Amino acid sequence: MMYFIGLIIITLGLLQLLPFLVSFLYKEWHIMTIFLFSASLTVLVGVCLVALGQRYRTTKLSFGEGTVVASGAWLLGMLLCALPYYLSGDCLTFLDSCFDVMSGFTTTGLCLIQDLDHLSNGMNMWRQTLTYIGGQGMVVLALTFLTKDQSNAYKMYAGEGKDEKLFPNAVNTARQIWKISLFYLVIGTCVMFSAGLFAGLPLDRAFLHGIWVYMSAWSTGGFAPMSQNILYYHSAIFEFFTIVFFVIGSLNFALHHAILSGKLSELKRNIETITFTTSFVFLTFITTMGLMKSNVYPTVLAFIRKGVYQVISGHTTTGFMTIYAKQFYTEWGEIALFGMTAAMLLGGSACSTAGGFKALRVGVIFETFKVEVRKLLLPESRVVESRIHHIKDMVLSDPMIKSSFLIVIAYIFTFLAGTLIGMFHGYPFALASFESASVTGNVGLSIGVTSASMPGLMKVTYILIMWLGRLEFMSIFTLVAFLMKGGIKK
Amino acid sequence: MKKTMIAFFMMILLTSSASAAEEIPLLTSDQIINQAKEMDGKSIQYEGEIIGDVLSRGEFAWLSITDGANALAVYLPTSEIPEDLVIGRYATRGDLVTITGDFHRACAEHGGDMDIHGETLVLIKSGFSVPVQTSTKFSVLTGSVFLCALTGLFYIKKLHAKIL
Repeated sequence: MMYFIGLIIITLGLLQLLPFLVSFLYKEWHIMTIFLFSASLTVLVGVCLVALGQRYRTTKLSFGEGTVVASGAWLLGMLLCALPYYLSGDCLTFLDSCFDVMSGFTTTGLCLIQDLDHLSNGMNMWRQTLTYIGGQGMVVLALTFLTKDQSNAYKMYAGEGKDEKLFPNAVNTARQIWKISLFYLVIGTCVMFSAGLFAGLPLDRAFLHGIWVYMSAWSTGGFAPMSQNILYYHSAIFEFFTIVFFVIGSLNFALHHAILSGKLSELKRNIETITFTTSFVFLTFITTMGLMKSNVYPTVLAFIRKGVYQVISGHTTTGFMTIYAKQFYTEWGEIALFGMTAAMLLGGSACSTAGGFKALRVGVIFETFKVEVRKLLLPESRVVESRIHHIKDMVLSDPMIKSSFLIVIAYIFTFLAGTLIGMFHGYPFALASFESASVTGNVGLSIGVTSASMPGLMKVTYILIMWLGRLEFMSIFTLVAFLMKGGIKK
Repeated sequence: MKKTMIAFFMMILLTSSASAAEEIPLLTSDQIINQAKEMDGKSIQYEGEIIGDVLSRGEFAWLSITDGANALAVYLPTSEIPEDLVIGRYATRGDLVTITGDFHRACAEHGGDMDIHGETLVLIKSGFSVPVQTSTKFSVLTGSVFLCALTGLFYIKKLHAKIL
């Protein structure tokens, strides 16, 4: 296991050369030195782990060990990747630095960085790189470039909260995920660069903002280069394209693969797209009712650019904002906040960059209720079978139902625990539950609770919740059990 | 005489209260956001550092001005923006300015944005560069760790041809 964790850590070290390069281009010498130090140290730790574990590199991992590799790499990766934030002084404490790294890895988008508006280009590149890598999965990245080991690959891949197989083996699936992501990266950067120019940014800033906002949108991350987030650009076109990319990013990679292979009908038939569209319409309706009651926005366009934008950003678990965090509680009213909280918890698609319950599970649970009601209405002797369509037609099986319920229940408990911790620290229920839903669903919309002055216990709790939510619980439970058994030697 | 004196003081009192009513309040970003409903449509003054970019919109432009707590959007005529404007970014503190204008909590003209339609911009303090230096000790440490990492990578590469 140490060997594989080492490979992933080396990958994270090499990735720091990207912000190093940006710092070099913009003559940010201090930041450049920090990235060189941090990259070297991270690679060195990775090399040590690979050297120590190389005797076991041909050992076949069990599923449990595969998940321990994924969750262990995320934990160690968080500590090492926090170094640039801490050394530059952009975060006040090492805990704040870890919070921001985990927020990036999990594509949450909440941040404790001080003075975002004066942040260096190198550090902004690092924030977005963390989000982009986290969205695709760092294990996926390591599998793509550093290993040809087929036997252990799927176990580590599944440990990162992804279980779709686009190809029979995990290494090819990981490569396909990267091909899809890089294909969209080129298109997305060009589009957002043009939108940035249109919004009035100068050429080089339009390019940097274009690639950063695209990376964040595709990863459903929510980090933006300025503290005003997407409101900064004052451009409906810019906002429109962010919606396009974060909606695409919230779709299942298997669905992308199907569409890029020419199966366009999959969009209409897939249970995830149907569930997501239905819940989006329903929650937009609720939020609209709330906003109409509060009478906040004067025109339909204003309502769309503020109300609908926030709902879809929350539902895809992106977290881009076109309003100030405080406006949620000073202006939106409780009904609209309820709609937003529900949207953030439901989330996007499984095996995508999005978080939350995931549309597939919500669809499965809804189908299960439908089947149970039908069973009650039909004679007892009648066998009722239900099918769902997700890439292919499949029978709604008991293991599928069980796993969907288990994970959704785990999300609900995590959300409640986060809310309770917030309330213990004196935040009112509406604020604590909104922020907890945002953290649990890896969304990143804030109502103003998350800040550097937040109590340390809440920061640690939110880090844990983001990690649990992104890796979907089982990997972390396995890691805890593994560590308790003292199994680190292997 | 007494009546004249009373009339004189009354006049002073009325004039001063009228000017007080006309006085435009200087608010912080937190006050503006928290009291958005009450301040909607009213003239305000806001003081802060110019950051980000000047986003041009024909004869007008968007500026972002931060007072340290939040950055607020100001929409004002380009004629009001000085040509030698210093914008706050990494290692640079932008011009400190006072903006006077009308506040909108959800501007109908700008798609519901919370903004200030600025009329005047007054420069309080010019922006300046903030030198950022790396200590020699840290540079030497970085060089040493870099060499160790490079050696380690070559060792691993030699160990397994498949990696990297």
